[in-house]
Amino acid sequence: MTWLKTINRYFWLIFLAVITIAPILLGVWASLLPTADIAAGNFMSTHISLANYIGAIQTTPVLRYITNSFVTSTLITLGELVFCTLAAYVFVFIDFRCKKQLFFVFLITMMLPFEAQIIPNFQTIRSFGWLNSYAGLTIPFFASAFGVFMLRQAFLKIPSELQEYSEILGMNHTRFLMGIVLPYSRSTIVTFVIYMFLTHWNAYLWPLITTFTDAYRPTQVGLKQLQAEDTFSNWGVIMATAILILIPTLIVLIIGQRYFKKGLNVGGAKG
Amino acid sequence: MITMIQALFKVRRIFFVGLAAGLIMICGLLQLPGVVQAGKSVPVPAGRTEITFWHAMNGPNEKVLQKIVAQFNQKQHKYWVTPIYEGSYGLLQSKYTNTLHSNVTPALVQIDQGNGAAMIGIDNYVPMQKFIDRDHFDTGQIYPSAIRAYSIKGQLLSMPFNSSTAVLYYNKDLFKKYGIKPLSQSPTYSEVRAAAQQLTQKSHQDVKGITLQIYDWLANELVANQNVSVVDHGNGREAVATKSNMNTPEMRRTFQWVQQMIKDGSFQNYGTGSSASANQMAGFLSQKLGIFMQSSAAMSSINKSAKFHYGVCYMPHPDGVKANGVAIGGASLWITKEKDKAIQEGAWQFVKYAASPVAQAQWQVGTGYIANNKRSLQVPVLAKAIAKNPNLKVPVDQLLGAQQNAASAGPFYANVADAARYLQIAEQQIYAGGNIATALATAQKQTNQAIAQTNQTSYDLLNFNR
Repeated sequence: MTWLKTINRYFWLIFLAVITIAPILLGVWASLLPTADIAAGNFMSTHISLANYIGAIQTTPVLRYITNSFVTSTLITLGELVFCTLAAYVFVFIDFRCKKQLFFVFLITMMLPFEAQIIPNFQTIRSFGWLNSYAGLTIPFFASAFGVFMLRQAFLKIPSELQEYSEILGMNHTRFLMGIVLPYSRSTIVTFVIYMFLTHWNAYLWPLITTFTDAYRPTQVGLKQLQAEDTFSNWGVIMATAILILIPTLIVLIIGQRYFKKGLNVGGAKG
Repeated sequence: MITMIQALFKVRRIFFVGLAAGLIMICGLLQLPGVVQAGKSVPVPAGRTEITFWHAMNGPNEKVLQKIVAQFNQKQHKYWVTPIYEGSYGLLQSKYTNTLHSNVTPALVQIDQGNGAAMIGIDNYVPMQKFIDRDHFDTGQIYPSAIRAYSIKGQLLSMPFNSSTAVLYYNKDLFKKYGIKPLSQSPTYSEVRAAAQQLTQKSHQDVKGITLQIYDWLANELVANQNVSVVDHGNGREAVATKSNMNTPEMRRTFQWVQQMIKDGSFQNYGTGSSASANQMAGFLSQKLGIFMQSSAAMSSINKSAKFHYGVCYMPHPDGVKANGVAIGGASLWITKEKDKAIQEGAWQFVKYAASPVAQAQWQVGTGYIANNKRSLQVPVLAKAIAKNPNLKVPVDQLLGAQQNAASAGPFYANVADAARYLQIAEQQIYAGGNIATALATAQKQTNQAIAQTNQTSYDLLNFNR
């Protein structure tokens, strides 16, 4: 009876996998077809070629878009890492008055949706003269309540004995943070980095309203730029560009997967 | 325990490196925004004044625009125009409004016909008439319809650049295959309805006869063709508009025609928005759809992708009603006031070139927009293209044949976007079989409220009679 069970299990797994992957497969397939065939709905076409990819790289600034996204996502991730780590460290390891209340205030900002912050943020960036710059794209995201919360939860798992021992060894805060806290929370930090990178790789609204030239436009906004409004879109090239944009995120996920799994397995103090 | 601490202490020096690098980068960003902002995609040659030009043209049309800009940049050595695509007309307009007096404000901007009144409200433009009067620029070379569309009280505010009219496209090969008579140059509602019905029946539902995208502009063009203006006060051109004319017998007649065709089963509803326009285009190109109405600007794409003969004719009019002609669509070029005199001058020089016979002729050939300049028809590139494809001439003829009145001048008021939203909602109800008069009355009431609200708060801004 076990083999029946296995078959059953695999059937459902494959079924769900197909549903999940189908749009991506369709996209890859469409990116190989000439636009004329896509427009005519001729999906069983045999005119398969990489022409769309060559067209995308040659005729669209897709590589520039990918570079911009890479720069902004990396900068934001680094910024988040620095500021959220420091803030979370203070909330966990340093005692001061109204700590709980202050942390609560921090959490409240999580309830405020980004859309509500857009107008003040936009006005600030505009008056700084940071429109259409990496500074304007990244600095508003250097700190987030979510990041502080996530890292705080990870830091709380560190046994208090470790802090006591480090004090006995005469470590100051910097050495304790760098040498013990961060390595100990490695899997959370990697998850955090991947999450932040992917979130900002997929950012749309903020870059849409603050970038004005291809020199700073990231991928998602750039992709929308390729779609024609009044006239006819070159769907083949657009699909190819979308697939190209997908590649870096896949690389990040594949590299990070190992840590993802570890992050899920780690629980409690491992003494 | 201590050994563990020591072990932990040793590992991952990478965190130090990463954090240090991050801090350095952040400091760099905070300290040197100026440096970060540098790095333009195309460097401006030394000694030239840069004219940033925001536009809403993409796809094949953007390529043609870039060509015209490159010609201008090559022709003279004082200015350098940088064209930048900023998204759809709506997005472009809101980006422009929100970034006035900032580090990215362009010197020249392409604003669609519907947003002209909003530009008056923003009041950050130099009227084109000022340069025209100074240089004695001959506006007689531009079609009067185009001039009138962008003039208030005889003052040209912006230079017409890409003008289009809505036209009706149909698949000539399918008409021939099923033995249907080609449509006349200015067809009537019953003529179009009969053709759509025959096409659907004779192809055994293989081909859908017709569609009319849920798109306010097309509905407005159909009523302009019956000499009805969209808003009161001469389409908002004699004084600030106060009332919408959405629920008129003419508009109702148009939608009765649509509902009849829906009942016939010859009508395909593609819905609304950019996906609808893409889908109806795909349907037409794959020969699943016989007739549709769209901007003449779509012609270059159809020309490139259609593997069949297509026909173009004027927008249809009701039986027994004389066709009034339609209003011009498209956009015009506005010069920004806040820029230096030298930059404004450069923008004007480019505007003059963009309106020239040669530039407009290339523009029409490459895009399907109408060449605004009368003399463009004599430019060989356009003359040859029309000889090869007479369809290119249809939108021009439709424009020239139009009566010169308020309806064909097109609407001029600030709530175009509100009206579009309400009218499109009404259209959806009507397409679903709802009562035409009720749906239009609701839409008209909502539009009137929006207009009243705008006039209450910003009448002084919008009032060009001041």
